[in-house]
Amino acid sequence: MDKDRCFWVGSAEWGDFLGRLVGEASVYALGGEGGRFFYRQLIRKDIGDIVYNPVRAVQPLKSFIFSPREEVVGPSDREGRKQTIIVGVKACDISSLEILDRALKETDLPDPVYQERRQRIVLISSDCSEPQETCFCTLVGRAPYPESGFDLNLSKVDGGFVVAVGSERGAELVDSHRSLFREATAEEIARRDRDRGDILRRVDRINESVAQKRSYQEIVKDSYSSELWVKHSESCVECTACNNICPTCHCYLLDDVSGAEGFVKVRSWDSCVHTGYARVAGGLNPRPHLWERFRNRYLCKFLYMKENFGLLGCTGCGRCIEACQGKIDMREVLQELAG
Amino acid sequence: MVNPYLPQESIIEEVIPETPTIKTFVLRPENGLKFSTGQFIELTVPGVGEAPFTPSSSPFQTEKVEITVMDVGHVTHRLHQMREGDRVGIRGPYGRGYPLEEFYNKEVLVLGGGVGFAPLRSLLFTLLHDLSKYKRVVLCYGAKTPADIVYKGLIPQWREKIEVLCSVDRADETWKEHEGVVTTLLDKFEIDIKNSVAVVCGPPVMMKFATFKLLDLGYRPEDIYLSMERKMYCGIGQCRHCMIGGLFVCKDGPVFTYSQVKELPDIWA
Repeated sequence: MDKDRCFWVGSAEWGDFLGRLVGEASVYALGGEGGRFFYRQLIRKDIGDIVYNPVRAVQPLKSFIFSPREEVVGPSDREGRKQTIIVGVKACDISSLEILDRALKETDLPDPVYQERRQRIVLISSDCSEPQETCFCTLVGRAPYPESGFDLNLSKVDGGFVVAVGSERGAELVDSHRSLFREATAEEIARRDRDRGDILRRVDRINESVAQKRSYQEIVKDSYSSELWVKHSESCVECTACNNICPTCHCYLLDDVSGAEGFVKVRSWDSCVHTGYARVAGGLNPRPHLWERFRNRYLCKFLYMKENFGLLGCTGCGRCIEACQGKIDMREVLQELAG
Repeated sequence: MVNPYLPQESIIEEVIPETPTIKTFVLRPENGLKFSTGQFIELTVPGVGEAPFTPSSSPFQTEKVEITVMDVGHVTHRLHQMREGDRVGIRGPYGRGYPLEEFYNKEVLVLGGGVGFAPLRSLLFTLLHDLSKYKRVVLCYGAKTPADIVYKGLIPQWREKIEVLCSVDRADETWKEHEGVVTTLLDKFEIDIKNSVAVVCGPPVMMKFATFKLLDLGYRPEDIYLSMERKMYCGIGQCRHCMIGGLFVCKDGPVFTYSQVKELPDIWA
């Protein structure tokens, strides 16, 4: 079966489909309310409560593939693990995997744990229908619906879903449960595209007052010596929530486990906002001041990652804005820097 | 699947005290280690941690590798307590070393400070391996006091083959050579700057002032080679700790020309 094909599935049949998958794989889906949705491991009786569209999950997708803390050298056995199917992933998180893949997988020496987990992940994404005030994917050249990078994508249409196939693996999934699906009609696809257009415009409207003519890359490049960094970092309390919740942040440190047999190395997330992030033995620190570390985060997202991976390191998911204890809004910082 | 984080078992074969705070460790990796001069390794002290070091030994010797280490941090402190026969781990080699072809037929000025002599010793072993490829080799080495000089036994041997100038910041009654920071040695001899490259390694403050001095003398930024130092974990361009601007010290370096880094932020920290 070709990828890039579109099917239609009714809600009840889709539920049957997921019910079958729950037996074969670990399935996670979105649940929650009030605009805050979390990935939860799916059991059959909860299939009817899954929240498909509204908006991205609170957790970043990286938490499935790049754990906060895990052994990368040691006795743990990763053979024979089940597939992990994640339902309801949003476009911003699909984009984040492009960055993580380039950083940790598509390199000369790939991270073996990331590679193994990544390979086991099946992504069933869905279009956004309720963008939040913190959403700004359209400001970083992305959209509130995925165009690639998924296995299957769901767009809610008339009591069911238009299902786009995005990979061979997605095609196989549909194929093996073919009786539940039928080809989508041109009208259904047109309806999906209209809805997508509406949501795109809604994200644009949310960001009307902060949208910039110049690219964020240019703005950050031209703002290196700006005095505004000091001002904007004033309310930062160095909690590092922005790093931890960011779907593309992947800085890590390696620790050796004491008292272990042989070499055991643990890889844990690190945060560039921490004072000691780049401090070397002897005490020298290239960024001793908070405002320098604050600035570095913007430089990393909008300049360095673009140089390293050909992509901006920001997907516009808005999690850092939502998580910030100091009420720092990246969009407003960039707006002021732009002058 | 190759696990790049898995170190190679290595035995400490010999510990050579250099100064009160610096030791050279002769390591024998289970499967040997091939490296180009200027590349670095990640050394694991089991149960303690890892740190990057550029071998100070000759790349022509592959069954053993030597590192010269100052007792300055968590890992190096524990390493300093280790003895012959103890077990460590080695990953690597990583990064890009010295681009020797760029040095051919030129006057190579090697400028070292303190324990920054370590990678330069490896470079000098390499240059001395076939000295005819280079027009001239001059070594300028500086340390804080005479007691802080490393490779004391080697310097007289090298004097027979290349020009060697030494200085200390603070002399004592035994010191017969120059007194002053290492950059002041550059006023003591002539060099054909237009046909020369300068290779610098030392503490950041020394590299900074050495670079400015070399620029003053007329060296072009692309002819000044610097060994950049940064906090490092993975060594393979992933963990992002060692970044200077958009460059990875571990992957794009650790040797950079000044022209590569001069526009980047915080290079001398």
